[in-house]
Amino acid sequence: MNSDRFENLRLELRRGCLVLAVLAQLRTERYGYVLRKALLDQGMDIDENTLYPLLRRLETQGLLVSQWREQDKRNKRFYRVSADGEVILKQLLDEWNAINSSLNRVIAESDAVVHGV
Amino acid sequence: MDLIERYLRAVKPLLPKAQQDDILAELSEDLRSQIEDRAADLGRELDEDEVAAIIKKRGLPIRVASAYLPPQYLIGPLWFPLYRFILKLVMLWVQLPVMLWIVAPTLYFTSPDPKSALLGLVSRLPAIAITTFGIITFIFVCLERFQFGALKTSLDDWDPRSLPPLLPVTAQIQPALRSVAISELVSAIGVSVAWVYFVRFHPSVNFDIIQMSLAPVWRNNFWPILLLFMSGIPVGCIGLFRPLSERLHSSLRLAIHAGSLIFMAAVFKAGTWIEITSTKRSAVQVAEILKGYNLGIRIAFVVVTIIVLAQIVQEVRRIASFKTPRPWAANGLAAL
Repeated sequence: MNSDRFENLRLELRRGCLVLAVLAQLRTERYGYVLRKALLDQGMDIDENTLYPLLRRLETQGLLVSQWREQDKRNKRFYRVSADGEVILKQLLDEWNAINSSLNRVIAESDAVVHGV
Repeated sequence: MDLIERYLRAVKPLLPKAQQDDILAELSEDLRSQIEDRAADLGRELDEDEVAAIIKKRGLPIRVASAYLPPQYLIGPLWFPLYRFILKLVMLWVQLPVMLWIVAPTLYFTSPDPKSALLGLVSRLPAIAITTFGIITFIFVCLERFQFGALKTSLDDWDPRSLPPLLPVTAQIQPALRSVAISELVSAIGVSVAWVYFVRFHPSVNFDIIQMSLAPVWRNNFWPILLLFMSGIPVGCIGLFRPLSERLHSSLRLAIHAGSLIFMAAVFKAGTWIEITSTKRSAVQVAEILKGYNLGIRIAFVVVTIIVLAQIVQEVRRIASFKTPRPWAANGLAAL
């Protein structure tokens, strides 16, 4: 029961972060499989059934551009951040940093109250 | 690789048509990359079980495809509470009472074969309910699909100052339930119409072997009883349009219940409520049938009296509870 609740909250917490991670990683052009591996190497494990529809959605919103190209004798779809995507990414990163700072202050303050520091 | 082809073929029809080939090409490429990587790790080709494991991890075709589909609901969270309310209101508090109190009695008393008519009605009830459900659902689906934008604008345009005022702390009142008020209103109208229809226009019914008519006691008390039935209309209106006037609401209901008891006592004294005549049965047989009917009505009187007494007790308790303070009143939440 507790693990279910944790899992739901964890997914909710991660949902917004995934967009940020994907946009940041696609400043360098990558195709889906390599992108997923790159994110995994950085500790960000994304299910394929989440990643590929997300890539498609971001492309529809104009934040990514994609191109089918042959590599190693197979056609692969390469994605990279568009000019609009770069602008949004910068705004999202600013927002992320602001949230992170606020959260750290809130947690530090509540820790101080709980532990009487 | 045969497994991959079979998997792709299963996913394809579930995807949005315009994107099928594109999504499948990417899915196929991803699966092949995974298989290649795993084979490179193991230093050999994967067997069928290992390929199946990779595909299984990707998920059922329906799960893969559903991630690419637009949100799939007929009625969204914005409309759903209203949809549920209207559905319950129409089916439970309008359709059911109309069927029970108007359609069924009308069929019973006007049809040449009442039993068949009632059975026919019962057999049609599921179809009527499904049709009502379908129509209401269709209206809300249209609202969801075509009116969302306009509604969103109007939802943003509201004024907190238009919210109903809080009651003074001394008036601890539970607002009347809208559904109860509507049912009171519909019942009062339905029963009043039925009363006028049967007593004024169809006071007797011919059942082939017997002719049944209402005893004079009903006709003599036609107007007082009609007034009593119609008194439910203002009560329903108060509950619907002035839900916070619960003290007035309960007092009126109490007065109506008390009035009902007085009239029932007066009508009960008559002892005969139905008259029966017949040219096809002997006087003794007619007397027996009449006795049976009047006994049934006598039992109904007793049951209704018990119900009305219970309602009187309930209303008195409600009125008494209006002055009982609540523990959270001190936090300024008295009227919530």
